[in-house]
Amino acid sequence: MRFINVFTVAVLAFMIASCMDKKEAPAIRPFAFNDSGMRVITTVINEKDNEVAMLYGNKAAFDNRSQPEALFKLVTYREQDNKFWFGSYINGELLRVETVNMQPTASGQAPAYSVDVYNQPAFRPADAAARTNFIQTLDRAWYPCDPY
Amino acid sequence: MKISNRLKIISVSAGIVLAVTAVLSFTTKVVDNLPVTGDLEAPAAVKEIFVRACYPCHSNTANLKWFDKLPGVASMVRSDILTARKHLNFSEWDKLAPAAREAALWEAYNMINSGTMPLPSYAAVHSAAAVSAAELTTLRNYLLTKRKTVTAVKQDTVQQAATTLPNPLPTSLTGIQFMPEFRQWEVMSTTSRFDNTTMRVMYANPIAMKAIREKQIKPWPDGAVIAKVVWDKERDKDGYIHPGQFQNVQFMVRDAERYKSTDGWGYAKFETKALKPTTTLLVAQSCASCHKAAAKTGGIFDLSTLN
Ligand code: HEC
Repeated sequence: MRFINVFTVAVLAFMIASCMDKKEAPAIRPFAFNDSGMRVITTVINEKDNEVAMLYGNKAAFDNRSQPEALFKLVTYREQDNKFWFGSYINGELLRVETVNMQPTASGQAPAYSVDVYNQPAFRPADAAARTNFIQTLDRAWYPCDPY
Repeated sequence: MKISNRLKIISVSAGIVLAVTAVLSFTTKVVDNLPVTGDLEAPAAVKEIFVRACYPCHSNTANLKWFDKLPGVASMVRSDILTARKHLNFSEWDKLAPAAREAALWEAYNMINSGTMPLPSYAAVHSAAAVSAAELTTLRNYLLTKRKTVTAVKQDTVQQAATTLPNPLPTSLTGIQFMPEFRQWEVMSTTSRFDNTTMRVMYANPIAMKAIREKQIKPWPDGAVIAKVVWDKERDKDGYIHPGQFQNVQFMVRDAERYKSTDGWGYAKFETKALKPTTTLLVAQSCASCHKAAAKTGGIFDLSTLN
């Protein structure tokens, strides 16, 4: 009797295990930022505010940061626990996209700075010149191959 | 033949089968218990969990139940134990470098938390093997004491030297050639690890990206490729953390048929700025074992979820 039980349980367990495996994938967060063909220059983590940001640039931004054709976007996300790996944070909700456009420098003006805010009603924009400087001076991460 | 006689014969033969089975079960030696060269060192409450739930397979001190020794079952149990020991052996803890020991514990937690370990087929018949929610908390709290903080200091301005790719491009033993085009793919996610001091950016090729958007990742389509770039973290004077020393680029290439033995994914890792291909077939097996913990997302860990 015991003999049969062990096997019944084993067979049942196998069936349950294979059913569980077919369960729907968890809800994957949709991609909220469209890179429009821009590539990653670097990534910055702000542990204090639980945020992670990726700096994107167009080809001109990679060639020479201060030329008028250069365009930068700093995309900031809230960091959240990685559901599949305890020991890791992953980018979660999109919080803001800051854009630095160098075009106005062609006529001797300051770069254009703007910020789009998402999911963060209490956000107060910082000084444009300070943010432009922060974005412009972020060092490029070392990658083994060029993005363009 | 009278019915009662037939019954008698049936029950006698059944009895014999049972008796033989029982004797076999008590005398069968499923595996040799090898010497313990250096046992896992952890606080008692933590160790107890591993000893009960994992040591039956992942140690040299397998303590098997009578039904594990039943004919037919014994060979399965034997193969599980031999495989399990090769992957992770708590009785030969001394053979792992300190960093590898810690990594193994984080991995162990994630294997349990995802329901991958103890093997579900085993846990179903060994109720004592189950790890409770309270025990998972014990493990988590222990691991948090091992949490890493970033101490490496970032220099003020770093000029990156121009990069030149090796020619020809390196190819790993798993048959995957380094793909510089990953730089043009979309970013899938970025992670910050606190079980070590690395940060990563994951890229998905167009096939993989389409699969994610269309929720077709169980299984992922053939041709899907995920690239992961790993750096050590560095902290600047304002506390921001940046990518410092480049570590490696890793690829996972989907080909259900070709990579059947590693659950349909081919693995490759290119290390240091020289992009040295380091993935042997044995290493790929370990990658695949660990990636079973991401079975819910078709083997890919780094997907952001709606919480
Ligand atoms: C019934 C035997 C059995 C038990 C019990 C068991 N395991 Fe395993 N384990 C295996 C086998 C077999 C593999 C190899 C799996 C594969 O590659 O398919 C494995 C693989 C692993 C790996 C992957 C190692 C690598 O190569 O990276 C980890 C981690 C692991 N087990 C942790 C655990 C933990 C933690 C427990 C206890 C909670 C546990 N296992 C209990 C059989 C077992």
